[in-house]
Amino acid sequence: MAEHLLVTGASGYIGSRLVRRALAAGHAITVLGRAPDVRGLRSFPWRLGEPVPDAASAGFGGIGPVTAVIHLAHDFDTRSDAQGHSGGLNIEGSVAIARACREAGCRRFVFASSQSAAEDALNVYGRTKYAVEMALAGPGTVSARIGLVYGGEARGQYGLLRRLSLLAPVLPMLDPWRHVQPIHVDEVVDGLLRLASSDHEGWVGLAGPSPVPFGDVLRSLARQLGGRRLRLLPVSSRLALMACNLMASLPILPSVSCEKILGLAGTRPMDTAGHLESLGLSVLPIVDGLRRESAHRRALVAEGRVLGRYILGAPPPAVLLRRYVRSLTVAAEQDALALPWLAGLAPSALRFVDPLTVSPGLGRRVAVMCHLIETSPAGQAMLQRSRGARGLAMLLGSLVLELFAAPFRLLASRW
Amino acid sequence: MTSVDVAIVGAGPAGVSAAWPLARAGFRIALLDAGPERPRVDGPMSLEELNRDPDQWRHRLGGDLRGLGSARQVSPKLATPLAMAVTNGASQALGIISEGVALVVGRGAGGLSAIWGGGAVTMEAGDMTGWPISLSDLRPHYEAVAARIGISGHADEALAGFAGASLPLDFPLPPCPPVAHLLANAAQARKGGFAIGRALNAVITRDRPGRAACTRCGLCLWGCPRKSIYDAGDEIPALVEFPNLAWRPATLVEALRPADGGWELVVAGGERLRARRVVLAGGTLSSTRLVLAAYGATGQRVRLQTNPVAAAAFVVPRLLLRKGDPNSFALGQAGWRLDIGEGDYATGVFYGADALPLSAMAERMFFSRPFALRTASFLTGSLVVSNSYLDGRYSDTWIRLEDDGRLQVGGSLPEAASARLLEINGRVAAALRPMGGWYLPGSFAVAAPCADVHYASTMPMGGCATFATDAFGSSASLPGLYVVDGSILPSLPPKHLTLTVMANAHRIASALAEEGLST
Repeated sequence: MAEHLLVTGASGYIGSRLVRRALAAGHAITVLGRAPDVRGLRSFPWRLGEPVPDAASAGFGGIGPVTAVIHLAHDFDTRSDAQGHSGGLNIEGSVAIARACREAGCRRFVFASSQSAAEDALNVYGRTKYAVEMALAGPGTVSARIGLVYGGEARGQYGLLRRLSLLAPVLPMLDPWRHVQPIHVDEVVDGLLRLASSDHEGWVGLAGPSPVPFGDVLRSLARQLGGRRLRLLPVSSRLALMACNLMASLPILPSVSCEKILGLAGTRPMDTAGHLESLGLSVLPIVDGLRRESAHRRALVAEGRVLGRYILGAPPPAVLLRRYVRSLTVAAEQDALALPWLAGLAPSALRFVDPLTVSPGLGRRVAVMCHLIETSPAGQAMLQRSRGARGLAMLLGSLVLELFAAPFRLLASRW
Repeated sequence: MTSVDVAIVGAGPAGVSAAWPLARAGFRIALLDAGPERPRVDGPMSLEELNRDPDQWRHRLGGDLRGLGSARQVSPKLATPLAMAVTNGASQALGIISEGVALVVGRGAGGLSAIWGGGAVTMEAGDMTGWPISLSDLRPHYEAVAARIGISGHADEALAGFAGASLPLDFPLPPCPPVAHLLANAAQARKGGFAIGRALNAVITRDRPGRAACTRCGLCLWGCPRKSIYDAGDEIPALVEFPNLAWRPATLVEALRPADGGWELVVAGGERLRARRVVLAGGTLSSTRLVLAAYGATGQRVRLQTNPVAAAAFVVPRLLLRKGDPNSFALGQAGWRLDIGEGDYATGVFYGADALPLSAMAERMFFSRPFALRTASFLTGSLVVSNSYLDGRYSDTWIRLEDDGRLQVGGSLPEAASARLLEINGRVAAALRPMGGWYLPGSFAVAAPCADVHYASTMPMGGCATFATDAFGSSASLPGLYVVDGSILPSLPPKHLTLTVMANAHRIASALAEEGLST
């Protein structure tokens, strides 16, 4: 059923993925955020703590009012107040949205919380998330306690973990035996979207069902993403905290805030198997999740190679293939097309099925590759060669084939 | 609460042109604009350099590849990262919604002049019948604005009067060879009511303080690296030099209320600003929205005029083997005018194709993509792209203020307009044939309503429409409020309106400066 979702934090690591998947699934999206939305989505300027614009929860252009809120925005100012969690902004701001939306008739509120959410969590983040959960608790509201998220674009905490795992062959690491519950960002997005139309209440765990040592996570990232073997040197928490303060003051090394160390140190296991089953969500072990990403990537690279050869007339340079994969990943279109095996052998055969308009599927992929080729030196060189007398000769030469292919293309587009 | 003499809402071409006379007169002014400060475009200095750069995709598609994002059919001019930075999110932020029309809304200092095509054209006496002012009222202001912003071109005999023969002009940029070929054979086309001449563009060909002359680097669509193309936002630093002018970017005016013999401006975020006079220059859509809200006029349709527009491509076979030239510019290279009877006429602009993105052209061709791309590239050297415009009377567009305060824009393209545009295309094709230009079959396309981005005439000067204004953009029910942008043009001839809007804004502001604020 198509929903009208109000999303906060839509430009973040999880949020941007969520918005793309939701749009692809046919939902309508309204965004509340600081910057005007560059994707052209319906958006309203807003910051956590400000009143919610009335028009935001209303319907628009034939679509009804907001049916569910997915609240991902968080103020990361970690100065803790008297209660030991970050300033009222997160609590008051979240409660304000919930109230505004309830008044507008919206029945469902999904709050993105964390596995570290606990009254006595070691980190400010965990205590804050818990406080917000308690303040929001009520009918129609569910808090998703999200585990260790990986996958997709290298942003946020996942980006940091990637960089760390590829930093050096030997890495000192705090608590590599601490158990965490990794979950792929697409699985988190899937879970949040299901929660938006389910009737779960209280809290639900969106994390891998089987805890794995944190060190294994880093080792898996190193192996899958960098083909390397990573060795970890266990470090005492006191030394780790000193080291992270040092790293923060040296600009060349990625800085890890102490908050994150405390977050890791305080991670408690969460029994999520029941929750995942009730949502109909299956979460792969991280090794398989990363393998699937690699498999997607390899499939897109192969597809890019075929389309590149088709349009450029020569194997495309590697940098162009990487850009192709990146363009599609960023657009959350990571499913490769099922091109006929003949296309791999003779890419120019694609001209018999080249769509007549830029339709989703092959038409869109061809259009993307075309733009990328045009904006590359190899493409520019090809385009230069297509001019003048020589260009005319080449065009006339392929004109016959082009005219021959026309009826096939017409047929292919009908079917 | 801050209180000023004059608050100018909108720092686009109209607002900036109004600011100068008022600032010189010494009033305390607040120049407000809804957009954040726009960072300048940083990058290669020529198309040639760009074509060689392995990182050119960053510049052409945006670092985040947003240039690939628009799967819908959008003019290539609007799909560059610069255009998307100016337009994306703008309608949402300004409370403007649309259905069924190809609306373009920009936001930020300079308004849409950040991405405009630079066409500089004046009205003729015949265009202004029914206006409460005459061409001689406007002429000194056309000249003042032209001298200030810099216009280059040739005062062509064929288009005298149409193209403002009395404007101070820099020497013209040489047109690309296909257009030059057509111009050289212009004599052949004088019959049949078709006239063609060099275009006037708001592009400087002599250096000025802060701006460098155009070197035909070809990067027009991606952001002029030399500030040769006029952008109202570039005048802000000079205006800020006036001690009596306060520049307020990122200040969105949500409502206007009469207060104490003047006005109170309600700014998003809660601030209130007091001004004795308000000059409204937010662009037709934003200004009309504020005025309708001040009247409380929700739910009523108000006529909006736009120029129905179509595009077509022509090839100059004589130059078929020409390889194209990275030394080019993407702005209008020639203008044409066609009489269509009873004082009615259509106009158009010819562009070269050297600096146009090819993928967009290839997408519109019937051929398979590799063939289409190579064909588009092959034709670059001999292609002329043409836009044709009809008078605003032919349009059927409207706006309406909704209950929630947002402005709805709607409309459709009347059958009569598309039929006319098609007929005009046929006559232009016939006129160009003896001049050596051949119409490219299948290239004619009528654009969706509002794609012309000439939005005007919602609150016409001297009209008897519901929200008409007087010759100074003011009305008795809203004293002290002067609308100076496209909203007040009484009619919309098939010409680019920006220079006229700027001259008119200058005229009204000068009159206001002279009259003073004593009431």
